[in-house]
Amino acid sequence: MDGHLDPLGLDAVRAGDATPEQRAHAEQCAECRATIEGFRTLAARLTPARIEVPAEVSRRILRPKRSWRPLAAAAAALLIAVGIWFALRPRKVDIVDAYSVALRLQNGQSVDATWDLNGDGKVDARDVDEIARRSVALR
Amino acid sequence: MDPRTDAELARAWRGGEASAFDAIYARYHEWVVSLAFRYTGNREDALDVLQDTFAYLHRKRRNFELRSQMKTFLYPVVKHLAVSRARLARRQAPLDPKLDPAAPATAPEETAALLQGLSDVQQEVVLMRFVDGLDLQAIADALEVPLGTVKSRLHSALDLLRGRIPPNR
Repeated sequence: MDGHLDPLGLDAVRAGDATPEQRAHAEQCAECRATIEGFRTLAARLTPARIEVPAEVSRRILRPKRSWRPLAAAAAALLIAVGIWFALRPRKVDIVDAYSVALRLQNGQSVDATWDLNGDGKVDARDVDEIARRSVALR
Repeated sequence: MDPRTDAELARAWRGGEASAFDAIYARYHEWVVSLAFRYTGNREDALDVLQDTFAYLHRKRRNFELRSQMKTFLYPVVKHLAVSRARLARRQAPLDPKLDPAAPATAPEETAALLQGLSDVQQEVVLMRFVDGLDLQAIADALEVPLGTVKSRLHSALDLLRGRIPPNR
């Protein structure tokens, strides 16, 4: 090899990925070795001190909390569905209920709002008919 | 320490092995936070970038395939996240790294002093080579520039730095 190592050759020796020829030259050339040592010193000075990563940060990265939103949305949807089913489910009634409600309506007594089977917001004769119809329906 | 290569860990993680991700994290989290600090100059922001980087990896899991070195893959991600965060921090409140009591020994201004006179792109390749320990091809891949460009930048940068080394060491 003629002359000294070029900058990339010097750096290759510093980094440990030089060719055999480059290494051989560096071993024999004090000037190149001094430059390589200077590069090593510079690399050490440029290398920052270790930044401590708090364990809590690592834990958050490695075990990220699962978002509660999808679960909450699914639970809410299920709750609403159950509520709707409960409200709309066919009520088991007896012909005696029709008679009892009719009697209370006739007497001007208060009637439980749950007897509003047709869902029109009030309990009246049409609900009595509905109770009667359901009580004798085959299914 | 997991003996598997990065590519093997990546494959295992894509296949659903959570411990492979832990191994990747153990191998690279210090480098990621250090690189992030280089661009943010602030420890807290660097830690945020660390979280964002691995969150990004998490999102990529299903299609994650390591076609290059892990550092080559991570470098542009960390740089992009860190530069964005630094830009945001500068807009919100100018930060002085000297005020950060937990800042590492080599603060960005000291690095800048050591590399004074080098262009930004020259500084970048020197740091990737000297600090990150990347080979020239990996630097080219990470920066998405031809290998010849990396060689040219590093050659001119080292030529300048060589002139500053005192003789007869």
